[in-house]
Amino acid sequence: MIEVHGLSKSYRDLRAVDDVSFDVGERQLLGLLGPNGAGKTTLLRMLVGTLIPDAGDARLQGCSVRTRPTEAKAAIGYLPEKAPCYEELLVVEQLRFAAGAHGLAGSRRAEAVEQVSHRCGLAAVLHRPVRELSLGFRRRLGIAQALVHDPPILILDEPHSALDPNQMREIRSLLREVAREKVVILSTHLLNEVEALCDRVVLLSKGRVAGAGATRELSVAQRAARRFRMRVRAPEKLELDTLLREQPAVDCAQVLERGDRNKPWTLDVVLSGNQADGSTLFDWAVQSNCRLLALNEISSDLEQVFGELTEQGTGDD
Amino acid sequence: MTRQAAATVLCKELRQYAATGTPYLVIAGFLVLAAVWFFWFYDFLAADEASLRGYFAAFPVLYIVIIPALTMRCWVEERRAGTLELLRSAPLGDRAIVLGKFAGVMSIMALTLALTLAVPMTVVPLGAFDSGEIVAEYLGAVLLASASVALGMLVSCRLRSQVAAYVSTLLALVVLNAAHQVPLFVNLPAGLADLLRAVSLEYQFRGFTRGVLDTGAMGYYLVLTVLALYLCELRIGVAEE
Repeated sequence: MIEVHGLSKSYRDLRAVDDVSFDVGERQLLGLLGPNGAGKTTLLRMLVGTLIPDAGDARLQGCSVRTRPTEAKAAIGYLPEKAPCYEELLVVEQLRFAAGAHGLAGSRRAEAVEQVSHRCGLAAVLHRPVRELSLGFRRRLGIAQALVHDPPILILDEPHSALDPNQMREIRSLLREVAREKVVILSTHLLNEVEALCDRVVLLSKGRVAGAGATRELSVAQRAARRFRMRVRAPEKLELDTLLREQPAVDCAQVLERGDRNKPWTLDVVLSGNQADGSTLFDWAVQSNCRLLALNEISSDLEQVFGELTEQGTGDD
Repeated sequence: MTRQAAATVLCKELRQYAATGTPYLVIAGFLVLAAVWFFWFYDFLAADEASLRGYFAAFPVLYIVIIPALTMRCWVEERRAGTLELLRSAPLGDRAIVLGKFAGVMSIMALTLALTLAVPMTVVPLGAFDSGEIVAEYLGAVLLASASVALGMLVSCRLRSQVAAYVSTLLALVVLNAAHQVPLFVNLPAGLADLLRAVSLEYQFRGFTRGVLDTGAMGYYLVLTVLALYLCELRIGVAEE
Protein backbone atom coordinates (compact mmCIF):
# COMPACT_ATOMS: atom_id res chain seq x y z
CA MET A 1 0.00 0.00 0.00
CA ILE A 2 2.81 2.42 0.93
CA GLU A 3 6.38 1.83 -0.19
CA VAL A 4 9.10 4.27 0.80
CA HIS A 5 12.51 3.85 -0.81
CA GLY A 6 15.57 5.87 0.20
CA LEU A 7 13.78 9.17 0.81
CA SER A 8 16.17 12.02 1.63
CA LYS A 9 15.67 15.73 2.16
CA SER A 10 18.09 18.47 3.23
CA TYR A 11 17.53 22.07 4.26
CA ARG A 12 20.77 23.81 3.33
CA ASP A 13 23.37 22.03 5.54
CA LEU A 14 20.83 20.11 7.64
CA ARG A 15 20.04 16.57 6.55
CA ALA A 16 16.44 16.40 7.80
CA VAL A 17 15.61 12.97 6.33
CA ASP A 18 18.40 10.63 5.35
CA ASP A 19 17.79 7.54 3.21
CA VAL A 20 14.56 6.42 4.89
CA SER A 21 12.90 3.24 3.65
CA PHE A 22 9.92 1.26 4.96
CA ASP A 23 6.63 -0.10 3.76
CA VAL A 24 3.13 -0.39 5.16
CA GLY A 25 0.63 -3.09 4.23
CA GLU A 26 -3.15 -2.95 4.08
CA ARG A 27 -5.10 -2.21 7.28
CA GLN A 28 -1.95 -1.52 9.21
CA LEU A 29 -1.54 1.30 11.65
CA LEU A 30 2.08 2.38 11.54
CA GLY A 31 3.52 4.57 14.27
CA LEU A 32 6.20 6.96 13.12
CA LEU A 33 8.10 7.71 16.30
CA GLY A 34 10.85 10.13 17.03
CA PRO A 35 11.82 13.03 19.25
CA ASN A 36 11.19 16.59 18.07
CA GLY A 37 13.44 17.36 15.12
CA ALA A 38 13.86 13.71 14.14
CA GLY A 39 12.51 14.39 10.63
CA LYS A 40 8.98 12.99 11.06
CA THR A 41 7.16 16.02 9.68
CA THR A 42 9.57 16.41 6.75
CA LEU A 43 9.07 12.74 5.89
CA LEU A 44 5.29 13.08 6.02
CA ARG A 45 5.41 16.25 3.89
CA MET A 46 7.28 14.31 1.22
CA LEU A 47 4.67 11.55 1.38
CA VAL A 48 1.78 14.00 0.97
CA GLY A 49 3.52 15.86 -1.84
CA THR A 50 4.10 19.28 -0.27
CA LEU A 51 7.87 18.76 -0.31
CA ILE A 52 9.86 17.30 -3.18
CA PRO A 53 12.44 14.70 -2.06
CA ASP A 54 16.10 15.31 -2.89
CA ALA A 55 16.50 11.56 -3.45
CA GLY A 56 14.41 8.42 -3.26
CA ASP A 57 10.72 7.91 -3.97
CA ALA A 58 7.51 6.84 -2.28
CA ARG A 59 4.61 4.97 -3.82
CA LEU A 60 1.12 5.31 -2.42
CA GLN A 61 -1.22 2.70 -3.86
CA GLY A 62 1.29 2.26 -6.66
CA CYS A 63 1.45 6.00 -7.51
CA SER A 64 4.85 7.67 -7.23
CA VAL A 65 4.89 10.98 -5.36
CA ARG A 66 7.44 12.15 -7.94
CA THR A 67 5.86 11.14 -11.23
CA ARG A 68 2.15 10.92 -10.36
CA PRO A 69 1.73 13.35 -7.46
CA THR A 70 -1.93 14.19 -8.15
CA GLU A 71 -2.99 10.53 -8.09
CA ALA A 72 -0.87 9.91 -5.00
CA LYS A 73 -2.47 12.90 -3.26
CA ALA A 74 -5.94 11.67 -4.16
CA ALA A 75 -5.26 8.45 -2.21
CA ILE A 76 -4.38 10.33 0.98
CA GLY A 77 -6.22 12.00 3.80
CA TYR A 78 -3.79 14.23 5.67
CA LEU A 79 -3.94 15.91 9.05
CA PRO A 80 -0.97 18.29 9.40
CA GLU A 81 0.55 19.08 12.77
CA LYS A 82 -1.63 21.50 14.81
CA ALA A 83 -4.67 20.62 12.66
CA PRO A 84 -4.85 23.89 10.69
CA CYS A 85 -8.33 25.20 9.86
CA TYR A 86 -9.85 28.25 8.21
CA GLU A 87 -10.96 30.29 11.20
CA GLU A 88 -13.44 32.40 9.23
CA LEU A 89 -15.43 29.45 7.88
CA LEU A 90 -18.20 27.42 9.48
CA VAL A 91 -17.38 23.79 10.24
CA VAL A 92 -19.69 22.63 7.45
CA GLU A 93 -18.05 25.02 4.97
CA GLN A 94 -14.61 23.73 5.90
CA LEU A 95 -15.75 20.13 5.33
CA ARG A 96 -17.44 21.04 2.03
CA PHE A 97 -14.23 22.67 0.88
CA ALA A 98 -12.14 19.63 1.88
CA ALA A 99 -14.55 17.36 -0.02
CA GLY A 100 -14.53 19.66 -3.05
CA ALA A 101 -10.74 19.82 -3.04
CA HIS A 102 -10.78 16.04 -3.50
CA GLY A 103 -13.17 16.18 -6.43
CA LEU A 104 -16.50 15.54 -4.70
CA ALA A 105 -19.40 17.69 -5.84
CA GLY A 106 -23.17 18.00 -5.55
CA SER A 107 -25.06 15.28 -3.68
CA ARG A 108 -21.92 13.11 -3.25
CA ARG A 109 -20.25 15.97 -1.41
CA ALA A 110 -23.28 16.63 0.80
CA GLU A 111 -23.52 12.93 1.64
CA ALA A 112 -19.80 12.69 2.41
CA VAL A 113 -19.95 15.73 4.71
CA GLU A 114 -22.96 14.35 6.57
CA GLN A 115 -21.38 10.92 7.04
CA VAL A 116 -18.02 12.18 8.22
CA SER A 117 -19.54 14.73 10.58
CA HIS A 118 -21.50 11.96 12.31
CA ARG A 119 -18.53 9.62 12.37
CA CYS A 120 -16.26 12.23 13.94
CA GLY A 121 -18.85 13.60 16.36
CA LEU A 122 -19.15 16.99 14.68
CA ALA A 123 -22.88 16.97 13.91
CA ALA A 124 -23.68 19.27 16.82
CA VAL A 125 -21.17 21.95 15.79
CA LEU A 126 -21.59 21.83 12.01
CA HIS A 127 -22.94 25.38 11.78
CA ARG A 128 -20.56 26.95 14.26
CA PRO A 129 -17.56 29.05 13.17
CA VAL A 130 -14.29 27.12 13.34
CA ARG A 131 -12.73 29.84 15.53
CA GLU A 132 -15.21 29.00 18.31
CA LEU A 133 -14.25 25.31 18.49
CA SER A 134 -12.32 23.80 21.38
CA LEU A 135 -8.98 22.12 20.74
CA GLY A 136 -10.59 18.66 20.86
CA PHE A 137 -13.21 19.59 18.27
CA ARG A 138 -10.52 21.16 16.08
CA ARG A 139 -8.63 17.87 16.05
CA ARG A 140 -11.87 16.06 15.21
CA LEU A 141 -12.47 18.53 12.40
CA GLY A 142 -8.89 17.98 11.17
CA ILE A 143 -9.44 14.22 11.11
CA ALA A 144 -12.88 14.68 9.53
CA GLN A 145 -11.48 16.72 6.65
CA ALA A 146 -8.80 14.07 6.15
CA LEU A 147 -11.52 11.39 6.01
CA VAL A 148 -14.24 13.20 4.10
CA HIS A 149 -13.30 11.78 0.67
CA ASP A 150 -12.90 8.28 2.13
CA PRO A 151 -9.21 7.86 1.21
CA PRO A 152 -7.54 4.44 1.53
CA ILE A 153 -4.54 6.04 3.30
CA LEU A 154 -4.65 8.34 6.31
CA ILE A 155 -1.56 10.29 7.39
CA LEU A 156 -1.75 12.04 10.75
CA ASP A 157 0.97 14.29 12.13
CA GLU A 158 0.86 14.56 15.94
CA PRO A 159 -2.93 14.23 16.24
CA HIS A 160 -2.71 14.07 20.04
CA SER A 161 -0.59 17.13 20.72
CA ALA A 162 -1.97 19.59 23.32
CA LEU A 163 -5.03 17.44 24.08
CA ASP A 164 -6.22 16.62 27.59
CA PRO A 165 -6.51 12.93 28.61
CA ASN A 166 -10.24 12.74 27.80
CA GLN A 167 -9.75 14.26 24.38
CA MET A 168 -6.82 11.90 23.77
CA ARG A 169 -9.03 8.96 24.63
CA GLU A 170 -11.71 10.16 22.20
CA ILE A 171 -9.22 10.61 19.36
CA ARG A 172 -7.67 7.21 20.16
CA SER A 173 -11.02 5.45 19.87
CA LEU A 174 -11.77 7.27 16.61
CA LEU A 175 -8.40 6.21 15.17
CA ARG A 176 -8.94 2.60 16.25
CA GLU A 177 -12.21 2.56 14.35
CA VAL A 178 -10.67 4.16 11.25
CA ALA A 179 -7.69 1.78 11.27
CA ARG A 180 -9.99 -1.21 10.77
CA GLU A 181 -10.49 -0.26 7.13
CA LYS A 182 -7.58 2.00 6.17
CA VAL A 183 -3.83 2.26 6.20
CA VAL A 184 -2.86 4.80 8.83
CA ILE A 185 0.50 6.45 9.46
CA LEU A 186 0.52 8.12 12.83
CA SER A 187 3.42 10.41 13.63
CA THR A 188 3.95 11.08 17.31
CA HIS A 189 6.52 11.23 20.08
CA LEU A 190 4.13 9.63 22.60
CA LEU A 191 5.17 6.03 23.19
CA ASN A 192 2.02 5.16 25.09
CA GLU A 193 -0.17 6.21 22.15
CA VAL A 194 1.89 4.05 19.83
CA GLU A 195 1.63 1.12 22.19
CA ALA A 196 -2.12 1.57 22.46
CA LEU A 197 -2.79 1.98 18.75
CA CYS A 198 -0.10 0.82 16.36
CA ASP A 199 0.70 -2.56 14.83
CA ARG A 200 4.12 -1.51 13.64
CA VAL A 201 6.61 1.20 14.47
CA VAL A 202 9.32 3.05 12.59
CA LEU A 203 11.72 4.90 14.88
CA LEU A 204 13.30 8.01 13.44
CA SER A 205 16.27 9.77 14.92
CA LYS A 206 18.31 12.53 13.31
CA GLY A 207 16.55 11.86 10.03
CA ARG A 208 17.41 8.16 9.92
CA VAL A 209 15.53 5.00 10.71
CA ALA A 210 16.85 4.04 14.14
CA GLY A 211 14.68 0.95 14.30
CA ALA A 212 11.56 -0.62 12.84
CA GLY A 213 9.37 -3.53 13.77
CA ALA A 214 6.27 -4.67 15.57
CA THR A 215 5.11 -2.52 18.48
CA ARG A 216 5.67 -5.44 20.87
CA GLU A 217 9.39 -5.31 20.07
CA LEU A 218 9.46 -1.63 20.93
CA SER A 219 7.75 -2.33 24.25
CA VAL A 220 10.49 -4.80 25.10
CA ALA A 221 13.07 -2.21 24.21
CA GLN A 222 11.28 0.31 26.38
CA ARG A 223 11.21 -2.06 29.35
CA ALA A 224 14.87 -2.80 28.73
CA ALA A 225 15.74 0.78 29.60
CA ARG A 226 14.14 1.79 32.91
CA ARG A 227 14.76 5.10 34.57
CA PHE A 228 14.81 5.62 38.34
CA ARG A 229 15.20 8.67 40.53
CA MET A 230 16.96 7.93 43.82
CA ARG A 231 17.88 9.86 46.95
CA VAL A 232 20.85 8.37 48.75
CA ARG A 233 22.89 9.38 51.77
CA ALA A 234 26.54 8.38 51.54
CA PRO A 235 28.47 7.71 54.82
CA GLU A 236 31.74 9.14 53.51
CA LYS A 237 32.99 11.23 50.65
CA LEU A 238 32.09 9.12 47.63
CA GLU A 239 31.43 9.94 43.99
CA LEU A 240 28.16 8.05 43.77
CA ASP A 241 27.59 8.68 40.07
CA THR A 242 31.00 7.21 39.24
CA LEU A 243 30.34 4.21 41.46
CA LEU A 244 26.93 3.67 39.86
CA ARG A 245 28.33 3.81 36.34
CA GLU A 246 30.66 0.99 37.21
CA GLN A 247 27.68 -1.31 37.78
CA PRO A 248 27.03 -3.54 34.74
CA ALA A 249 23.26 -2.93 34.84
CA VAL A 250 23.61 0.86 34.88
CA ASP A 251 23.47 2.53 31.52
CA CYS A 252 23.58 6.10 32.68
CA ALA A 253 23.75 7.94 36.01
CA GLN A 254 23.09 11.65 36.17
CA VAL A 255 23.53 13.80 39.30
CA LEU A 256 20.60 16.12 39.90
CA GLU A 257 21.81 17.29 43.33
CA ARG A 258 25.30 16.56 44.64
CA GLY A 259 25.42 15.46 48.27
CA ASP A 260 27.96 15.20 51.07
CA ARG A 261 28.07 13.63 54.55
CA ASN A 262 25.11 15.72 55.74
CA LYS A 263 23.16 16.10 52.57
CA PRO A 264 21.69 13.29 50.45
CA TRP A 265 22.43 12.88 46.75
CA THR A 266 19.67 12.97 44.14
CA LEU A 267 20.41 11.00 40.98
CA ASP A 268 18.63 9.79 37.85
CA VAL A 269 19.75 6.31 36.88
CA VAL A 270 18.91 4.41 33.69
CA LEU A 271 19.16 0.62 33.96
CA SER A 272 19.50 -1.61 30.95
CA GLY A 273 18.83 -5.33 30.54
CA ASN A 274 15.59 -7.20 31.09
CA GLN A 275 16.60 -8.45 34.54
CA ALA A 276 17.45 -5.03 36.00
CA ASP A 277 14.88 -3.38 38.26
CA GLY A 278 14.69 -1.33 41.45
CA SER A 279 16.11 -4.15 43.55
CA THR A 280 19.38 -3.84 41.62
CA LEU A 281 19.78 -0.31 42.96
CA PHE A 282 18.64 -1.33 46.42
CA ASP A 283 21.29 -4.11 46.54
CA TRP A 284 23.93 -1.69 45.28
CA ALA A 285 23.10 0.83 48.04
CA VAL A 286 23.38 -1.88 50.74
CA GLN A 287 26.70 -3.15 49.36
CA SER A 288 28.08 0.39 49.11
CA ASN A 289 27.09 1.11 52.70
CA CYS A 290 24.78 3.90 51.55
CA ARG A 291 21.36 4.66 52.95
CA LEU A 292 18.61 4.65 50.30
CA LEU A 293 16.10 7.37 51.24
CA ALA A 294 13.86 7.20 48.17
CA LEU A 295 13.66 5.18 44.97
CA ASN A 296 11.04 5.93 42.30
CA GLU A 297 10.68 4.61 38.81
CA ILE A 298 10.08 7.46 36.37
CA SER A 299 7.51 6.11 33.99
CA SER A 300 5.73 9.26 32.84
CA ASP A 301 8.59 10.84 30.94
CA LEU A 302 8.37 8.52 27.98
CA GLU A 303 9.75 11.03 25.56
CA GLN A 304 12.96 11.15 27.58
CA VAL A 305 13.28 7.37 27.59
CA PHE A 306 12.55 7.32 23.91
CA GLY A 307 15.19 10.00 23.30
CA GLU A 308 17.77 7.70 24.84
CA LEU A 309 16.60 4.77 22.73
CA THR A 310 16.87 6.72 19.53
CA GLU A 311 20.28 8.13 20.49
CA GLN A 312 21.47 4.54 20.88
CA GLY A 313 19.98 3.66 17.53
CA THR A 314 22.03 6.09 15.53
CA GLY A 315 25.17 6.61 17.51
CA ASP A 316 26.83 9.98 17.30
CA ASP A 317 26.37 10.74 13.64
CA MET B 1 -9.74 19.46 -13.79
CA THR B 2 -7.74 22.64 -13.10
CA ARG B 3 -10.84 24.72 -13.76
CA GLN B 4 -12.93 22.71 -11.29
CA ALA B 5 -10.15 22.78 -8.69
CA ALA B 6 -9.70 26.55 -9.16
CA ALA B 7 -13.46 27.00 -8.76
CA THR B 8 -13.31 25.09 -5.46
CA VAL B 9 -10.53 27.39 -4.20
CA LEU B 10 -12.46 30.43 -5.46
CA CYS B 11 -15.59 29.43 -3.50
CA LYS B 12 -13.50 29.03 -0.36
CA GLU B 13 -11.85 32.42 -0.93
CA LEU B 14 -15.19 34.17 -1.42
CA ARG B 15 -16.61 32.61 1.76
CA GLN B 16 -13.54 33.79 3.65
CA TYR B 17 -13.81 37.29 2.18
CA ALA B 18 -17.49 37.42 3.09
CA ALA B 19 -16.62 36.59 6.70
CA THR B 20 -13.91 39.27 7.06
CA GLY B 21 -14.19 43.04 6.99
CA THR B 22 -11.30 43.83 4.64
CA PRO B 23 -13.16 43.63 1.30
CA TYR B 24 -16.02 45.81 2.57
CA LEU B 25 -13.53 48.44 3.75
CA VAL B 26 -11.58 48.26 0.50
CA ILE B 27 -14.71 48.62 -1.65
CA ALA B 28 -16.12 51.46 0.45
CA GLY B 29 -12.74 53.23 0.54
CA PHE B 30 -12.33 52.97 -3.22
CA LEU B 31 -15.80 54.27 -4.00
CA VAL B 32 -15.56 57.19 -1.57
CA LEU B 33 -12.06 58.25 -2.62
CA ALA B 34 -12.85 57.98 -6.34
CA ALA B 35 -16.05 60.02 -5.92
CA VAL B 36 -14.35 62.66 -3.74
CA TRP B 37 -11.56 62.98 -6.29
CA PHE B 38 -13.97 63.25 -9.24
CA PHE B 39 -16.60 65.57 -7.83
CA TRP B 40 -14.47 67.67 -5.49
CA PHE B 41 -10.83 67.87 -6.53
CA TYR B 42 -11.38 67.34 -10.29
CA ASP B 43 -14.61 69.35 -9.98
CA PHE B 44 -16.39 67.47 -12.75
CA LEU B 45 -19.59 69.49 -12.51
CA ALA B 46 -17.69 72.71 -13.20
CA ALA B 47 -15.45 71.17 -15.89
CA ASP B 48 -18.17 71.24 -18.52
CA GLU B 49 -17.03 68.03 -20.29
CA ALA B 50 -19.02 64.95 -21.24
CA SER B 51 -16.28 62.50 -20.32
CA LEU B 52 -15.31 60.28 -17.39
CA ARG B 53 -11.59 60.64 -18.18
CA GLY B 54 -11.01 62.48 -14.89
CA TYR B 55 -12.80 59.75 -12.93
CA PHE B 56 -10.75 56.92 -14.39
CA ALA B 57 -7.49 58.87 -14.15
CA ALA B 58 -7.63 58.29 -10.39
CA PHE B 59 -7.90 54.50 -10.71
CA PRO B 60 -4.16 53.66 -11.05
CA VAL B 61 -3.37 55.65 -7.89
CA LEU B 62 -6.27 54.11 -5.96
CA TYR B 63 -5.23 50.63 -7.08
CA ILE B 64 -1.77 51.25 -5.60
CA VAL B 65 -3.41 51.71 -2.18
CA ILE B 66 -6.20 49.11 -2.24
CA ILE B 67 -4.83 46.16 -4.18
CA PRO B 68 -2.01 45.44 -1.67
CA ALA B 69 -4.71 45.33 1.04
CA LEU B 70 -6.44 42.51 -0.84
CA THR B 71 -3.39 40.53 -1.93
CA MET B 72 -1.43 40.81 1.33
CA ARG B 73 -3.42 38.07 3.06
CA CYS B 74 -3.53 35.64 0.10
CA TRP B 75 -0.45 33.66 1.09
CA VAL B 76 0.58 35.14 4.43
CA GLU B 77 -2.60 34.02 6.21
CA GLU B 78 -2.51 30.56 4.66
CA ARG B 79 1.08 30.12 5.76
CA ARG B 80 0.50 31.54 9.26
CA ALA B 81 -2.47 29.24 9.89
CA GLY B 82 -0.74 26.23 8.31
CA THR B 83 -3.58 25.80 5.81
CA LEU B 84 -1.29 26.21 2.79
CA GLU B 85 0.11 22.78 3.63
CA LEU B 86 -3.42 21.41 3.75
CA LEU B 87 -4.24 23.07 0.45
CA ARG B 88 -1.10 21.79 -1.27
CA SER B 89 -1.58 18.25 0.02
CA ALA B 90 -4.96 18.04 -1.76
CA PRO B 91 -4.98 16.98 -5.43
CA LEU B 92 -5.70 20.53 -6.60
CA GLY B 93 -2.34 21.46 -8.10
CA ASP B 94 -0.45 24.68 -7.45
CA ARG B 95 -1.82 26.24 -10.65
CA ALA B 96 -5.42 25.79 -9.53
CA ILE B 97 -4.58 27.22 -6.10
CA VAL B 98 -3.01 30.33 -7.67
CA LEU B 99 -5.82 30.76 -10.20
CA GLY B 100 -8.50 30.27 -7.53
CA LYS B 101 -6.93 32.90 -5.31
CA PHE B 102 -6.45 35.27 -8.24
CA ALA B 103 -10.09 34.84 -9.22
CA GLY B 104 -11.07 35.55 -5.60
CA VAL B 105 -9.30 38.92 -5.51
CA MET B 106 -10.49 39.76 -9.03
CA SER B 107 -14.07 39.06 -7.93
CA ILE B 108 -13.72 41.75 -5.27
CA MET B 109 -12.23 44.11 -7.86
CA ALA B 110 -15.03 43.30 -10.31
CA LEU B 111 -17.63 44.02 -7.64
CA THR B 112 -15.88 47.32 -6.85
CA LEU B 113 -15.86 48.32 -10.50
CA ALA B 114 -19.50 47.27 -10.88
CA LEU B 115 -20.43 49.57 -8.00
CA THR B 116 -18.60 52.47 -9.65
CA LEU B 117 -21.18 52.21 -12.45
CA ALA B 118 -23.35 54.38 -10.22
CA VAL B 119 -21.20 57.36 -11.26
CA PRO B 120 -21.66 57.03 -15.05
CA MET B 121 -25.33 56.21 -14.52
CA THR B 122 -25.68 59.47 -12.58
CA VAL B 123 -23.75 61.74 -14.90
CA VAL B 124 -24.53 60.32 -18.35
CA PRO B 125 -27.98 61.99 -18.51
CA LEU B 126 -26.23 65.35 -18.04
CA GLY B 127 -24.45 65.35 -21.42
CA ALA B 128 -23.54 63.57 -24.65
CA PHE B 129 -21.16 60.92 -23.32
CA ASP B 130 -19.40 58.52 -25.66
CA SER B 131 -20.49 55.03 -24.58
CA GLY B 132 -17.55 53.48 -26.47
CA GLU B 133 -15.13 55.53 -24.37
CA ILE B 134 -16.79 54.36 -21.16
CA VAL B 135 -16.58 50.71 -22.26
CA ALA B 136 -12.87 51.16 -23.09
CA GLU B 137 -12.29 52.79 -19.70
CA TYR B 138 -13.88 49.89 -17.86
CA LEU B 139 -12.00 47.33 -19.95
CA GLY B 140 -8.74 49.12 -19.16
CA ALA B 141 -9.65 49.28 -15.46
CA VAL B 142 -10.23 45.50 -15.39
CA LEU B 143 -6.97 44.74 -17.22
CA LEU B 144 -4.99 47.14 -15.02
CA ALA B 145 -6.51 45.53 -11.91
CA SER B 146 -5.65 42.08 -13.24
CA ALA B 147 -1.97 42.94 -13.79
CA SER B 148 -1.73 44.72 -10.41
CA VAL B 149 -3.39 41.84 -8.51
CA ALA B 150 -1.14 39.24 -10.16
CA LEU B 151 1.92 41.34 -9.27
CA GLY B 152 0.69 41.73 -5.69
CA MET B 153 0.24 37.97 -5.37
CA LEU B 154 3.73 37.36 -6.76
CA VAL B 155 5.42 39.92 -4.51
CA SER B 156 3.72 38.61 -1.36
CA CYS B 157 3.90 34.86 -2.03
CA ARG B 158 7.11 34.29 -0.06
CA LEU B 159 6.59 36.83 2.70
CA ARG B 160 5.51 35.92 6.20
CA SER B 161 3.96 39.15 7.45
CA GLN B 162 0.94 41.02 6.12
CA VAL B 163 2.62 44.39 6.74
CA ALA B 164 5.67 43.35 4.73
CA ALA B 165 3.39 42.02 1.98
CA TYR B 166 1.36 45.27 1.88
CA VAL B 167 4.42 47.55 1.83
CA SER B 168 6.31 45.45 -0.74
CA THR B 169 3.34 45.31 -3.11
CA LEU B 170 2.65 49.02 -2.66
CA LEU B 171 6.28 49.86 -3.49
CA ALA B 172 6.29 47.53 -6.50
CA LEU B 173 3.11 49.14 -7.83
CA VAL B 174 4.44 52.67 -7.21
CA VAL B 175 7.59 51.84 -9.20
CA LEU B 176 5.69 50.21 -12.05
CA ASN B 177 3.10 53.01 -12.24
CA ALA B 178 5.58 55.86 -12.04
CA ALA B 179 8.26 54.40 -14.33
CA HIS B 180 7.29 56.71 -17.23
CA GLN B 181 7.95 59.77 -15.07
CA VAL B 182 11.63 59.02 -14.55
CA PRO B 183 12.66 60.65 -17.89
CA LEU B 184 11.01 63.87 -16.64
CA PHE B 185 13.60 64.12 -13.88
CA VAL B 186 16.61 62.30 -15.34
CA ASN B 187 18.11 62.72 -18.79
CA LEU B 188 17.90 59.24 -20.32
CA PRO B 189 18.60 57.87 -23.80
CA ALA B 190 15.46 57.86 -25.94
CA GLY B 191 15.34 54.06 -26.08
CA LEU B 192 15.41 53.71 -22.31
CA ALA B 193 12.77 56.42 -21.86
CA ASP B 194 10.54 54.58 -24.35
CA LEU B 195 11.09 51.35 -22.46
CA LEU B 196 10.10 52.97 -19.16
CA ARG B 197 6.93 54.32 -20.76
CA ALA B 198 6.21 50.86 -22.21
CA VAL B 199 6.41 49.15 -18.82
CA SER B 200 4.51 51.83 -16.91
CA LEU B 201 1.09 50.55 -15.83
CA GLU B 202 -0.28 54.07 -15.54
CA TYR B 203 1.07 55.25 -18.92
CA GLN B 204 -0.42 52.23 -20.68
CA PHE B 205 -3.78 53.00 -19.04
CA ARG B 206 -3.99 56.50 -20.55
CA GLY B 207 -5.09 55.20 -23.94
CA PHE B 208 -8.10 53.46 -22.39
CA THR B 209 -9.18 56.68 -20.60
CA ARG B 210 -9.31 58.37 -24.02
CA GLY B 211 -11.53 55.59 -25.33
CA VAL B 212 -8.75 53.88 -27.34
CA LEU B 213 -8.60 50.08 -27.29
CA ASP B 214 -4.81 49.86 -27.53
CA THR B 215 -3.95 46.24 -28.35
CA GLY B 216 -0.33 46.83 -27.26
CA ALA B 217 -1.48 47.93 -23.80
CA MET B 218 -3.98 45.06 -23.59
CA GLY B 219 -1.25 42.59 -24.54
CA TYR B 220 1.13 44.09 -21.99
CA TYR B 221 -1.37 43.77 -19.14
CA LEU B 222 -2.27 40.21 -20.14
CA VAL B 223 1.36 39.09 -20.49
CA LEU B 224 2.19 40.68 -17.13
CA THR B 225 -0.76 38.91 -15.50
CA VAL B 226 0.08 35.49 -16.94
CA LEU B 227 3.80 35.84 -16.19
CA ALA B 228 3.25 36.96 -12.59
CA LEU B 229 0.77 34.13 -11.93
CA TYR B 230 3.11 31.58 -13.49
CA LEU B 231 6.03 32.75 -11.34
CA CYS B 232 3.73 32.71 -8.33
CA GLU B 233 2.86 29.07 -9.07
CA LEU B 234 6.55 28.19 -9.23
CA ARG B 235 7.37 30.09 -6.06
CA ILE B 236 4.70 28.85 -3.66
CA GLY B 237 6.19 25.37 -3.73
CA VAL B 238 9.71 26.68 -3.21
CA ALA B 239 8.54 28.93 -0.38
CA GLU B 240 7.51 25.87 1.63
CA GLU B 241 11.01 24.36 1.51
